[in-house]
Amino acid sequence: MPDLSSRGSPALEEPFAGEPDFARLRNDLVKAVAKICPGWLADRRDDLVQAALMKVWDISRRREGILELSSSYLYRVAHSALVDEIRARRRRHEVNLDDSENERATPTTAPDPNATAAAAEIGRGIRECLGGLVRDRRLAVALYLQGHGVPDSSRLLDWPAKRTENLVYRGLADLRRCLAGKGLEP
Amino acid sequence: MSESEFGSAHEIERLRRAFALPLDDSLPDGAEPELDAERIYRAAAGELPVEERHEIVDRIARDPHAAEAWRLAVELQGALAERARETGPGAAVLPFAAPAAKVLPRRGLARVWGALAAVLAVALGIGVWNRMHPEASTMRGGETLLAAQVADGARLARSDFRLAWAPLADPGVRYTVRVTTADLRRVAEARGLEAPSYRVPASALAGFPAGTRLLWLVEARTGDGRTVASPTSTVELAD
Repeated sequence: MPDLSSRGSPALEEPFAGEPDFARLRNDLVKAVAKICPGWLADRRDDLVQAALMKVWDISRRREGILELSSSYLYRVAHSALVDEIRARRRRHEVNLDDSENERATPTTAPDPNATAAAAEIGRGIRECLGGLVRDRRLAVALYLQGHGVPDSSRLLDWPAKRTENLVYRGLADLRRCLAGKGLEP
Repeated sequence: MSESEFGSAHEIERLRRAFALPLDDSLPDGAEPELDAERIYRAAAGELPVEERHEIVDRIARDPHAAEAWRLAVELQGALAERARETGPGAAVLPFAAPAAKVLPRRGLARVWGALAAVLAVALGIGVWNRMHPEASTMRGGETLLAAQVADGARLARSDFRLAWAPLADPGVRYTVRVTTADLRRVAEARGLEAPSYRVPASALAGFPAGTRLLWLVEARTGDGRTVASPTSTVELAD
């Protein structure tokens, strides 16, 4: 007699018995999109992530056989697939830019349109000002504005911590002066 | 000097938030070619040569989309490190831009990810591969694929949610059917089937509203131990 067992219910959250928690990678991608991407993309995170996961499989399968994949490789591929999918959606102009004007902020940004517009203007000013900084200061400040502390930046840029710290300090001072010259105050 | 001397926390937060805002949702004419996402990921992980890392960091200073890809990389590397910490201690592969991570253990991960890969392969891969290579809808690497006999996208009543496929001409064949949600949560599974069809019990579908999209596939194990699978198909729950 066949072993016919019908299992499962909508309430169950675990994957098939003996198999891994697949939802983890997906959840990590969903969280990353929700946290990092602008509102119009974050609102479509399920579709975005699903498309990226399908690419992960296809890329992985063609490249080296999925059973040999390491977790670090899989996350790297997932990142590439996600970024490519985001770029593709931007290129397709899936959103009306006028309608999305107030949705460009990350989800953590205050919903106040005036505050968002002011922040966007400061963001433009920051990029213009960074372009005028001495290169090493620009690198140090860019990483700092990306959320990296001095120890991280020091390792990423392969500079001594003290030098990195000085470059961030001086670079931020340059940035403030430049922004003030543009009439912008963070 | 300490980082607190860089400025007030409030000001730094505003600067960072403003820097993270995309300037536009489309690339301007004459924009630089997009950076390869994998290079960004590897740079954020500290895996590229230092000059290349500098080049990429310089790019994120002026390119908000590259900066966004970098932040996604850091976020995923942090998540990966977090998963590794949950799994337990072991050998280290450190994405050093992820501040929370110090050690990435191997123990357990290979098993977990190997199995994850298997789930991906079964639940997504065959279907995706098949859609991307329609010429191989019945053959894959010389291997026959099982053919579903329920149209992709068909609407099935929960009272008679019957999945069917073309049988293999092998007296010892046994089938395994798996049904999942679109994000691969288990709905039902039946193993060791002799007949080329399976009706999902209504109890397994209870709680899913009409219109829910479900994925299903069938695998066959032949008498001589070969495994053959169908593409992943989609069906919709109707009342």
